[in-house]
Amino acid sequence: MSAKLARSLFLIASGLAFLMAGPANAQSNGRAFAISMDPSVPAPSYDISKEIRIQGAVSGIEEVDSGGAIGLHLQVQTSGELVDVHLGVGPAISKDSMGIAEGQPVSVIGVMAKVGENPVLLARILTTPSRIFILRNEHGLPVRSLLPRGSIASEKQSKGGQ
Amino acid sequence: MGRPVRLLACAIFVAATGVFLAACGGGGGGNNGGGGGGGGGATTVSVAIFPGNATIPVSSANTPATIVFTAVVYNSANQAVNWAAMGGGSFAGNVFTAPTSPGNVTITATSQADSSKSASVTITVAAAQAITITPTAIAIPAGGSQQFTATANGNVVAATWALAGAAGADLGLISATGMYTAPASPPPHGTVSIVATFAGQGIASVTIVFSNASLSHQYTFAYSGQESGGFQAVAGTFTADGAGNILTGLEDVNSAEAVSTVQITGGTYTVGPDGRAQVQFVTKSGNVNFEMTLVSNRQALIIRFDAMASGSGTAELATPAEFSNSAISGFYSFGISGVDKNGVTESIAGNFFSDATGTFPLNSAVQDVNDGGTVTQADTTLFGNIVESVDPLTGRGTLSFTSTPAGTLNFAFYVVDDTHFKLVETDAAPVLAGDGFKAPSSITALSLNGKFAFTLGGTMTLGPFAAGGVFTSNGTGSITGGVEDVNQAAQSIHLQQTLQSSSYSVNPANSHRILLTLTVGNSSIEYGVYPAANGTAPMISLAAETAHSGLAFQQSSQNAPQGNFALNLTGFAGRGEQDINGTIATTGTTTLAGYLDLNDNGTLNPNLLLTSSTFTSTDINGRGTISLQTTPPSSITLLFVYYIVDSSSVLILEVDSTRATVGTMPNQF
Repeated sequence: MSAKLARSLFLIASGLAFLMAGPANAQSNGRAFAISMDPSVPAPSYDISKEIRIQGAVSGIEEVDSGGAIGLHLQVQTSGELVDVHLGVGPAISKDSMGIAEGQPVSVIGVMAKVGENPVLLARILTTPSRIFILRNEHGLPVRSLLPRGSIASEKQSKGGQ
Repeated sequence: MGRPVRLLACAIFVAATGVFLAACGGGGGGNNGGGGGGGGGATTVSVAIFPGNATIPVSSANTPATIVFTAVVYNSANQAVNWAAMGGGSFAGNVFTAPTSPGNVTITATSQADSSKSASVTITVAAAQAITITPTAIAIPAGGSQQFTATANGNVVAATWALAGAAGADLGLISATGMYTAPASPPPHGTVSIVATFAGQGIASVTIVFSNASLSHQYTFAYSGQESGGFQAVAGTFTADGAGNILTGLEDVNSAEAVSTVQITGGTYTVGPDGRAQVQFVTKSGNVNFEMTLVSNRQALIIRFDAMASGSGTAELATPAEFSNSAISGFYSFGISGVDKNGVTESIAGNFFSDATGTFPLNSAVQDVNDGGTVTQADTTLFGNIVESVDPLTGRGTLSFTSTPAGTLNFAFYVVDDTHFKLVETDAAPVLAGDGFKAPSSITALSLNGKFAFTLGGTMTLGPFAAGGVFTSNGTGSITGGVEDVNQAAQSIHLQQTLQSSSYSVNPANSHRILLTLTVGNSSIEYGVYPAANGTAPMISLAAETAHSGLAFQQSSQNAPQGNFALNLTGFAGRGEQDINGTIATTGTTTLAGYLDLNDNGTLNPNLLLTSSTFTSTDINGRGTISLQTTPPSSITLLFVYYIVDSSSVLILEVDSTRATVGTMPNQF
């Protein structure tokens, strides 16, 4: 959580304000937060045999803090539809740290799930022009870090004694 | 030993005590201050008064009854306040002299830094006493001293002095001449009565508040959380001098940058009257900041409070006399969690036997492993040993666990005492950390008899997962009922789900493992449960679709919380790690007051004053709800379900649309 990251979060917030005025707003308005006493509502599961692969361009990037699947979402415009792609939650899953920009071509491998009333692609692998991100494992459980352990020791000073 | 309050990725209130935190005043007046280094959030000035509501006798012409007040101004370098009394009496500095007639007096302290911020308490002025003690009421810092004087008819008398308060509690000491020395932390209810007897009796009220003296001697600590590179886990030891200085320490840090053993060469700390403390460790590679909330002088809840790192954990007063290999002898239940080599949540819970030489033999251990949804149940291939012997000064040793599903895992561990140690993995991956607790020599179905409150934390497909509840066991293999609440990534909240009848068993037979099934509707989840000797039990989910773990506590009360509580919450919000510490006091049957310190993914918000915060009474399961709201400009609303463990401990689960967190609220007094 460096100052750079804090700045990037600010930029995301600024970008979000912009997105809210654009077409992506229609997507976010559809997000659902549910409080239920109904035990039959299942958690979205990840069946790897039902994975799909989509290709398209990033038409929106949204940081959802509440009222939906929290975390970073991409709106990916494929040839046929606009797909809401959930990348995950955490400081590593950010627009800046992942180098994602609107207009960028991407491909995503994941499983479609219903979150509230909305179809969402739970992304396991995201491929951008320059990088491949493993975002979930084969059980669909999210990663907490996109970097191999120890890989950044040479890139920065140890921080705060840690 | 203090009750272990937190385990794995995974804190209260209490009563009409002498401490009352109050503040009011219109918004505005933003001012960043307090807290350890790093980028601050928007905070505002607030005021707290000590002691709180008190009863004192009327003053007579030649014998004044007095209260010595103290005010704390949060989020301002200017601690000065203006004192005012409405309803009678007068102030000289911070000393209030009661009026000569009974009644209620409202005392107000107004910040000189921001005159829109003040706090008020109500004083009851009652009938005269045969003996008047001066001062008649006062807040004394833990470990501090105060000379009391007894007066009759205007003359100082050689009274006999005594202390009165909660039975069995450390109330401090009073000398034959009326010199009182406060205990190291507040006793039950937070107050001590000073009794002077001389041809009659007089009583003075002392409110004990936390102080630097409350953090003294050697502590074993651990926390885990997130730093810029990913998951981080730390365990170590530090020694505080009781006067605001960290003398020495050692920690094992497993972060994305490196796995290292780091000397703590010094540091400083400041403990506030409500037990919230700012602590800074100095290490050769930099300073590390924490917000700690003292439960007592024996235990603190801690959150890392830096912009580049956050995390939650505990610090426990250590017993150096038990820093040896031989102290770790017998059966231990453990729970560890963190991330696997791919950065996905991994948890292990189990039980092993340690002989007096530090060997953990094969065929004397059992464990469950949930590695990112790949589950290995009831694995009995686990064995290991202490590699580096426990250091008699630091309580640090190293150990290894080897098993078929997890390979060889290496850990540094720090002894709290012979019933409890904290461990952190020293391998580059996976990175697991947690606690080991002394376990009974044998486990039967009766080991899980009665009501158990539990909380669980981990991950699911959408992100963070948190759950809590209470289950009832008949002691013979059946779960007869209970309730569960689930927070699925703050997106879908399932409240008050009734637990259906299901079963549990010691499985494998004669092992230290209980296989527990909790059923809600048509959905069942199996858990590995490992009872410890202190009434707690590490739990681990055996489900592939969620990797979560936590701790169950034998429930002995269903009564709503009353009093002052420390609080810790940890989990995730949309932007990342959330760690919250604080203090909460019940100020009535439904209202709460207190302060929170929040590390919001690196944005630091110290001293967030609660306002309009409430709680509900409990149901038959000891379950209720809490709503916390902080004052502008950092207005945050948090909704919780709570589960009573006993009169000294409460578990909490956040159930709103912004976070998935779990935590504990141990009673301070």
